[in-house]
Amino acid sequence: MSTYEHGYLIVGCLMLVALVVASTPLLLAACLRPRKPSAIKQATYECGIESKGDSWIQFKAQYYLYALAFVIFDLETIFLIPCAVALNQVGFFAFLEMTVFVGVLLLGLVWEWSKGVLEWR
Amino acid sequence: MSPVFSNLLAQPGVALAAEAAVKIAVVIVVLMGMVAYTVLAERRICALIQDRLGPNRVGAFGLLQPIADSFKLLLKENVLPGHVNRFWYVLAPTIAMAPPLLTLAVIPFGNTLAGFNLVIADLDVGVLWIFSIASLGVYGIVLAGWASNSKYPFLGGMRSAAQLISYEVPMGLSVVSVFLLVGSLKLSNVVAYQAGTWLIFKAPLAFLIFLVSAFAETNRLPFDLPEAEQELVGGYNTEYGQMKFALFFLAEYANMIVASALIVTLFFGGWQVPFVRVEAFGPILAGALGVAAFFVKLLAFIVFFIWVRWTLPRFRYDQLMRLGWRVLLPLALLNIVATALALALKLRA
Amino acid sequence: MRTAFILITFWTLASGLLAISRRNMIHCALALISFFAGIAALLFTLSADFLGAVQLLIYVGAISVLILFALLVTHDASRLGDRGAPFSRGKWSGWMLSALVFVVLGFGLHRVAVPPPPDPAPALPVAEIGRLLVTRHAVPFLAMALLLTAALVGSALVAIEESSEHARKE
Repeated sequence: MSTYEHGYLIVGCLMLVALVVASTPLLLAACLRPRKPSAIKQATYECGIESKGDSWIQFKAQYYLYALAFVIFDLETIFLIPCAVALNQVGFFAFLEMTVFVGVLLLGLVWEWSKGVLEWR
Repeated sequence: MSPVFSNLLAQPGVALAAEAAVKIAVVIVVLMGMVAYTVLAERRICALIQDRLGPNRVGAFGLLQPIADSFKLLLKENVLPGHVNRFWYVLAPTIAMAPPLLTLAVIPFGNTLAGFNLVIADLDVGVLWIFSIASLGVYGIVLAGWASNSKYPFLGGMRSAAQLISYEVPMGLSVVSVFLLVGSLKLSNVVAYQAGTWLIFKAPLAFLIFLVSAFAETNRLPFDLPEAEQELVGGYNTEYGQMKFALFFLAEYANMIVASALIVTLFFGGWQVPFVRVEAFGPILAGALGVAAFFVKLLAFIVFFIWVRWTLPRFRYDQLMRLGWRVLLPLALLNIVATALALALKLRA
Repeated sequence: MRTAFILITFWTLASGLLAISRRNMIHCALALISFFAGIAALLFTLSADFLGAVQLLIYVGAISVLILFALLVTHDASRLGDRGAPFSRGKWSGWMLSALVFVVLGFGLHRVAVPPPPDPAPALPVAEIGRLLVTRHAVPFLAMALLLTAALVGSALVAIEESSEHARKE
């Protein structure tokens, strides 16, 4: 078995162990603890008055905008990481390319900034 | 050891599996113990800062407090609110607990001890693995908020998710400059690179950005808006109680410990012992000293996390977003260009 | 690795089926996340660990968050399925189309004689990927920056138009 396979096999096992570790306390508690439900206990937790209206409250669409920007910059990070690792081998040319890559996205960021899109209102 | 047992261990596959099992067991037990005692340390240090005593009744200096707490949480009545989406409501704490355990797999907590590498799995994509698993942390929180089917948790969950993704970007970008210097994603290589000078001295700005983002990613105090008690009751975990709440709570501390371990590994030399040539002490003692160095640094950072929490006030949400997108993000990008320039000039010379 | 591959394949297929068959949109999105995670696991078993990590980070950690946000920000998205499902109208043409795609892809894969890869396939180090990215594939790499910026600007433009419309209404 190669070290590659070995490493991921262990990680796979760890994933199972993590699930077991995370769910054992819940199971243990489920066996040990009492359960006496009543209408008051099961009510929605708010200020003490009865909950009004739907729990699905309206959110700003801005959350979505931030998520979009997040996806784009996450992608940028992913492209920069292999280039950063390879810079030692390739040298100055790689640096120029990275600068252009970062510069173009920085321009986009500055434009968004000037339009006030990344301003939380 | 009986001959049957030692024969079994002599087979390569069995030996590897046994080694892996022992490492996983030790790391998880140590992490869980550290989580329990970090909670106690938090309460004691908080009390110290606020000129109180803190929990000091159960055992000497309150050292048995975590055990008492865990029994209390185990025996609490199971209240399952009537309005929740049961399946996801119960699953959410489990999902929140898994990422810190999985990220721990690639962090080297020592060099070698008696011929064993002191890391569970030294993956080639090391740091990237940590980021990709850490990015799953959002789901525990969003699911808890949504499955609770209640206003405060929903609002807290969304806020928290937006915060987590906003700070994930500068965190990832700040580490790119580390990769530039080291030329590898493997964490053992990152630590080996720091044998002479720690990376904090070579990439101080990256460290600063990473540190601030780490505070935001672990929901620690200047950035604890997801659970701002005064406005959101308790945030995404408002509708949770007993062991289910405890898992969220423990996951938060586990995240903090993993973040500290990552900072130590990336910027503070990991298990490297400063100023002393430990190789001179022989392999066993050198390995043990490395593990000790790692844990001393780790504890220092945990205390730092706690100290900051009880010192700084909370940001407003728009301030938080502005810091992430308008300060840290451009700064991280410029830092990459500057580091790349310095490196390219050095390569030319 | 082969057993793991087969198990994960079934997991991925099951998640995909769940994603298209559930009525509750949030459940569909969660099944889709599980599907993406399955793809990542498949990549890990195929010795493409960098791609696997990227799949986890981008699809599971970012694009799925985007989908979830879109659903959660949309008021009452969970009940969309109950009022005459939005996808039932073109159900049969949809099935036909996907069957056609499957046949074409299967036929293509059958025709192309790919030599069986060595088991386990050799892993490509990250540095090598980076080297190829900045040397041989330099032009697509830089075009990518333009594309990402265009996406950034485009998403912002939509938002600006919306907010100015909103202001006019008020």
